[in-house]
Amino acid sequence: MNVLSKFTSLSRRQILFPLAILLSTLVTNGIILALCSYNPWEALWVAIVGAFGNGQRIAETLIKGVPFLLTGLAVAFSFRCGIWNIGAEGQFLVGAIASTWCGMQIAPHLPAVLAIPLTLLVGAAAGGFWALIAALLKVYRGVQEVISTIMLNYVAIHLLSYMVDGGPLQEAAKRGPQSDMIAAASYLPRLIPHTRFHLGLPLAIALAIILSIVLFRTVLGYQIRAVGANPKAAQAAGISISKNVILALFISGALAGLGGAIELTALTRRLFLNFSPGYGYTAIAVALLAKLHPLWVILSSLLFGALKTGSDAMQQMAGISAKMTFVIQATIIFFVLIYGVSSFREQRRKLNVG
Amino acid sequence: MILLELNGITKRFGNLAAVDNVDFDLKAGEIHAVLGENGAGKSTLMNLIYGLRQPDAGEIRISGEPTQLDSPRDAITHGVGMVHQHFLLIQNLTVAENMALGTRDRGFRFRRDEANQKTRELSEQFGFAIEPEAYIWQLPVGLQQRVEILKALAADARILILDEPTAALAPQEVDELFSILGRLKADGRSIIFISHKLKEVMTISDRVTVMRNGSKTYATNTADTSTEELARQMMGNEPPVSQDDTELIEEVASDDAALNVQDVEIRGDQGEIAVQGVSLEVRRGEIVGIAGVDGNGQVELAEALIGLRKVISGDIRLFDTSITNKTTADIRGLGVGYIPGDRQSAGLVVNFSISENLILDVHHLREHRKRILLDKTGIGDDSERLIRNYDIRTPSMDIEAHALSGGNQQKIVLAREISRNPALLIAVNPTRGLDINAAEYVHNSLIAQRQASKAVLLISTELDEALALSDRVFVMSNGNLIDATSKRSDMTALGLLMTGAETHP
Amino acid sequence: MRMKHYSFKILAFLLIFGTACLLGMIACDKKAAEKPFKVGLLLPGSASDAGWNALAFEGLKAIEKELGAQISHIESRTPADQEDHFRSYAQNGYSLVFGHGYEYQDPAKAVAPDFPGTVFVTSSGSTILKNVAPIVFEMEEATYLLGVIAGMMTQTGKVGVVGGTNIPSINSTFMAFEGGVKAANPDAEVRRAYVGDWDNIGKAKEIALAQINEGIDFIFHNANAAGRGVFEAMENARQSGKDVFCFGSNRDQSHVSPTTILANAVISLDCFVRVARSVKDGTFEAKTLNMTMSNDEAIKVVYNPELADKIPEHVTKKVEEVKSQILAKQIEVPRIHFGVDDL
Repeated sequence: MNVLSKFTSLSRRQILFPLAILLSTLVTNGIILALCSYNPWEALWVAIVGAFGNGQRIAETLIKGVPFLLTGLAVAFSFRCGIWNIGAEGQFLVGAIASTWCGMQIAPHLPAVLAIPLTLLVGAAAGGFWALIAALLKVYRGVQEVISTIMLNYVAIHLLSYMVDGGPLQEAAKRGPQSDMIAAASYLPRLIPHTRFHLGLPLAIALAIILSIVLFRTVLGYQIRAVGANPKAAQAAGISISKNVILALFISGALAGLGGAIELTALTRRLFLNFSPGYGYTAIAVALLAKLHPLWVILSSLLFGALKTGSDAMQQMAGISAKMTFVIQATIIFFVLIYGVSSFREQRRKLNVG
Repeated sequence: MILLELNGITKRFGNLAAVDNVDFDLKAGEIHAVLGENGAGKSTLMNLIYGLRQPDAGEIRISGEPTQLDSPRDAITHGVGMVHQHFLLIQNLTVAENMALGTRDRGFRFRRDEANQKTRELSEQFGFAIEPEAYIWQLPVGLQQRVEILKALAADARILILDEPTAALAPQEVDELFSILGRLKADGRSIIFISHKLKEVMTISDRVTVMRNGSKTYATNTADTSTEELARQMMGNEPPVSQDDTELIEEVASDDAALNVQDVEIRGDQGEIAVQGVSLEVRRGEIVGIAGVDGNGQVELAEALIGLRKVISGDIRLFDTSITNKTTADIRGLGVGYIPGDRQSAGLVVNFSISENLILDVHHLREHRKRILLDKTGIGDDSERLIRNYDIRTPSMDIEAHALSGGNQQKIVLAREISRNPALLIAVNPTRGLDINAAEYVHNSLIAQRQASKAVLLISTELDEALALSDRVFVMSNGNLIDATSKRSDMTALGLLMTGAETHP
Repeated sequence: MRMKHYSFKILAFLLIFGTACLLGMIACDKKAAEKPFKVGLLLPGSASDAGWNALAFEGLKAIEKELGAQISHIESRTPADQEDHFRSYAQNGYSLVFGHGYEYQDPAKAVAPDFPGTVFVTSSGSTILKNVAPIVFEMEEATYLLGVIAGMMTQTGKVGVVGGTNIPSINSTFMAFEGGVKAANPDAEVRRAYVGDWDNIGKAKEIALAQINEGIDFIFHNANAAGRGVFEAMENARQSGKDVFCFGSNRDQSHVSPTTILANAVISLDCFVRVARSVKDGTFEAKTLNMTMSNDEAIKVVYNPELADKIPEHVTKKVEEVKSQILAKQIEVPRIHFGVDDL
């Protein structure tokens, strides 16, 4: 009832603006594709089919959203506390490294009911501690977290390449830069046969819901938002900035680390050199598009998942080169962010007048 | 000769007419005061003249020509200059460098000698006594203001808008500003002087325009009116309560010292010693006022008292408990309330709703929780009560604080701090930027604390306010605290103390 | 108030999502119809790397040309995505899908049982199922010959090799190269170095420059795209008057650096065409598909025509002689002997 009345009471601008954004996205990409002598109609068609064509494609779209969802939550959570955690990438990798270790060394001796949660927790904890380094540097030494988290990304990338390329996690046969398979007991179950749809998505969605409750309904979330929105006022009211910065970054890192652990235990099941194509960086766009709200992160990460399956399909089915699909993805994200930012402004304006 | 003329100017924001059909004119060589409460539309009107906003209706004429002002740049080309309440100066650059930033035709290379020379000439021409090579951060507020004026003059402004120019100045500095304004006037320049201080308007202006709720309600030659009349026009029909009613209040101070500060030394943000060996006692049932010009250590002292800043040496006691270098949460837990000097940056989280702001200090206490969740209903009920009791004017407690006027924002802070019934309330510039009614409300709240036998420490740059409310008055200057209770009727002596010209009573 | 706001937006999103799904499903139904011979390729890098990936891409194009196949390829760098890429091709009726690297074994193994009608071939590896087989390029005989050239021509007695990462399949080619060098010039010294990955051209260039400064005058690279760094270093050194040369690997790279590459160890495009032909004819057998020099010159040495005059005749003669000895099994080329489980 209320929902319907909302629909009917939509202003013209509220309807026209998203349509205009959609149209300009399509037209811009159409022109780009046409200029590079591809068929834009075929590309569009193939992308939709690739992202949503059948149950299996939809499952892929959903699970490709999972790493974006968890790293996006990580970024959103820390940004809420005013912490610019650019290190979700590194935390994601460290989480994957740690859960590989756990999956290979500890999980074989455990039943799946224990092995799975333990492997995930170890990944989350590792991500959390990785972020904690930046938190402690910030609180006790005043090091800008933007810089330290970026630096820690490089450390994590090189740590990964050491681990699988000559280091302790490299496969026993030492043929390539990858680890051995983790124990089957620690595989995160796939839920739908003949698809890769796994437990990670429901888990991540549940986390998003829990996080939004934490942020908006608990003392911890209240403090974190207060510190993020105005540290001076929070401090004057007796809220400890250091404590909240440390907690927020730890939780943020743990979310990204869990993302790495889930990707590992559900999909690849062994560690590789190119484990992340930059989820942690894309996560910043995911989080900003979601206006840093955990529930919106669910939707924006699904959009990024669809962009991925859609652009894969464009490569596979329409012969569009990989580089061109990146251009198209970037254009779409650009337009969607324009929409996000201006509707955000709109909200602000209304508040100021009213 | 009419230099500037506004005819039927209207500016709307949504359904609200911030400026409603206003006529205004400014003659060459006059000082025209615009008087009004906060939110009366003064600032919007000035933004229209300075090209920051464009009117929805009406016409602006400069020197008789209808003029469209699309940007401040346009306004500057038409000879309009503005000195904002908050200065737009770059602290780490010198005066001359700041001046150069404002000029139109800058080449690729910065010619330092030329810039210094130009600044010096201009400064001497108007008797500003400004050293071109001084860094902005080295200058006291009064001189920074002169740099702002100088910037406008360098752009050859014939019309100078001064927005609340005396807000941050000590009495002597105000006098100096007024003599500069006199010189500019004699030079044939016109000044729009925005203020809500009646006495200053009576002293300096040739004509006055009073605004209320976006409309012009009254315009006259200053010589033909009185303070009382202006106040009536400004407030509508309710005349402001005189601030001299402290005499009426019975003596309630007891001998109990609620706050006892012994020899504290505190560092400022730059590592300098901001407070040097200050001792102070605030007893139950009294208001102790500390007057002083901004930047003399008062803020540092207040921050140390509430635990936001470390004390290097000395001791602070609340009743018999030492609170030296305890955490803010602990000190608040012992019954200290704090109204910070800047409500927007330290008093409120402006992006939080009113009810969220009302629990900023106590959200973690058990009474506001249901297990791990915040108790929304309980908090809502409390907010309703506080909004009612403290007369916070808002359609809903879920509105974000930034949407409210300054007065209502300050009421949120007051409601939060006073409703905890603190044994000691520290209030820093609690009425800064508020209109008369809101300021009155704040004053009454502080007095009520005193009547309830609580201790109040009032730190204010408004000498009048400190004098009117306090049982005992101190002046803070260069990190030293001087007891000025005996000189409370001698404005000249107080002014000298505040400017640091005289350091011993 | 707030709840209503959200439920509206979520509803709107679900509507869009649902419409997209519906559209997608309709679109999917429409496709089907006739069944051409389709061949797909998963690449671990860019098809334009002028090395390992370009080789497979050219192989794919050769299949299109010679067998009239419908072809497609995708950059499939992230392990988590590879399984999906295999599956997409299989679902769309591709008869043969190449995964151009050992890392495609896990995903091929995961997908193959669902699609018995599709053959999955990985470049190197050891996984063999009914419809999964590795194609193994044994470069060693060709790199041995390159070693002979370097050993005979080096003036400083120092020769270098630059690898991508330190892995057995690369090291095996280096062992063979070293064997060739030592056979021709027992006193010569061979230095090994690794870039650490397969894309870092700048680092490869630094490594090569360092080797040149140590007096090395011949470099053999096996570093994919990073190999360009070696060529750049060579070009710089030649410009500053040093008499240094290098070799190309996997593909005829002569055109990439015509002034510095003497010869290349080349995988013939025919390797890919042979596999595709067997799948098309229905004669495909799941077993390790070894590609060697003795196997119809699937692997061969190709000289750079631009620099043909730089190689003395006695050297080319010697190379021909050694080659016939290898083919006649009179010379055993040193190499790592991979067990079935090692590849």
